Amino acid sequence: MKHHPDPATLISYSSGSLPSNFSILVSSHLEKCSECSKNLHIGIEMGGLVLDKLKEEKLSEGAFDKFLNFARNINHQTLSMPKNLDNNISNIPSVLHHYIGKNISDIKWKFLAPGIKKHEVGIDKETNSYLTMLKINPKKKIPEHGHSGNEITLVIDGSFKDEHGQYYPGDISEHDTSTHHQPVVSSKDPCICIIATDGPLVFNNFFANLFQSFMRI
Amino acid sequence: MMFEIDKEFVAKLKADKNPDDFEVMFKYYAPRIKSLLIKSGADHAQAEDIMHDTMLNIWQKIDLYNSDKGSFSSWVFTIARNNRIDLLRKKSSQPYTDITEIEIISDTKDGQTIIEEDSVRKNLSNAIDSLPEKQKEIIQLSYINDMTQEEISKYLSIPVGTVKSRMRLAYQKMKDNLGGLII
Repeated sequence: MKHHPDPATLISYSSGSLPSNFSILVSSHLEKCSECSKNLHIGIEMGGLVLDKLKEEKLSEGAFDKFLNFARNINHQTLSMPKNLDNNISNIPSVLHHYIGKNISDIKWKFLAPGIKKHEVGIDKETNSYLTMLKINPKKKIPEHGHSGNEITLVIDGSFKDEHGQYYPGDISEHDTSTHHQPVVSSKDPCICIIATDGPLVFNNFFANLFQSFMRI
Repeated sequence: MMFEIDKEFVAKLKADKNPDDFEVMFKYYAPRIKSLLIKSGADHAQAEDIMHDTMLNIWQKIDLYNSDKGSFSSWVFTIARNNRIDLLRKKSSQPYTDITEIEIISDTKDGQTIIEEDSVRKNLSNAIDSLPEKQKEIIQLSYINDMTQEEISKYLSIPVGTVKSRMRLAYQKMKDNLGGLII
């Protein structure tokens, strides 16, 4: 894997403050990327240090005794298994199975534009956050665009390239208001990716922008 | 309370599961976790509930903790972080927030080993203390106040790009201090 989350994104993920649609894609990347899993330790250790340095908040009277009485009555067999031990052979990361299943062939695609299909995974209109899958045919170009917010793309199958490099399954492409790009599918099969955004794309072309306002990507 | 939870104490806690030792651990972490939750917007009752859940997770999962994989405080932080996200999920209408937990570091999974924990902790603690105030402030707002990059940007009236660059600098400093010690 050549394209990883921005360190600032890893910090926000570690702290728990990264919005959930982006967090899901970072979790998916971490599942496949040992380098980022290693770097995540840095963020987590920072959390431990921050906790150690926090000023104490007074607890309610008898908090420990109440806790102990409760805990003693809990069966120790309620341990849950760690999440990622299911020998996942699907190219869909296991953290995404809950939302899109284990097989790409099961996904219900909808027409978006010639050569492009879309599947909406989740929408939170309150925060304007979207999680969307795209299936884009070989050689198809997405019109050049910028971003009105943040965008994280995770490649699931196939590949695409843009001004910043070539992206393969597991790679992360991250953009914000400061960047423009024009992705083009580089694999001989369709490129399937999942995209988290918190603001609509801003196309340089008038007709693409008009299209965007109807199709919401 | 100035008692510091060290590696030997955690090993004893894990081996003996003595309620007296657990009480010592509880008295160190519970008030800090409650503080973390209040600073991130929970009220006192919610903060105490999540603290309670976190302590219960520790009580139930202490056998999974492996000191070679990270400090005990970072393990506790991860559990509290996950519980905080769970609280937010219950409070919000977001359709996809239940799978963003970080898997807690455990004995049951292969992974990196952090060697010489004491020196790691000392190096990291020094590194976080010596961060420039502006970077330290961003780290605190992210970890303690649970603010997104956009919220930090608005709160400090600085561009999001500046928030990100300060986070990157802080991360790099931590990485310089820890990177070689993760194998």
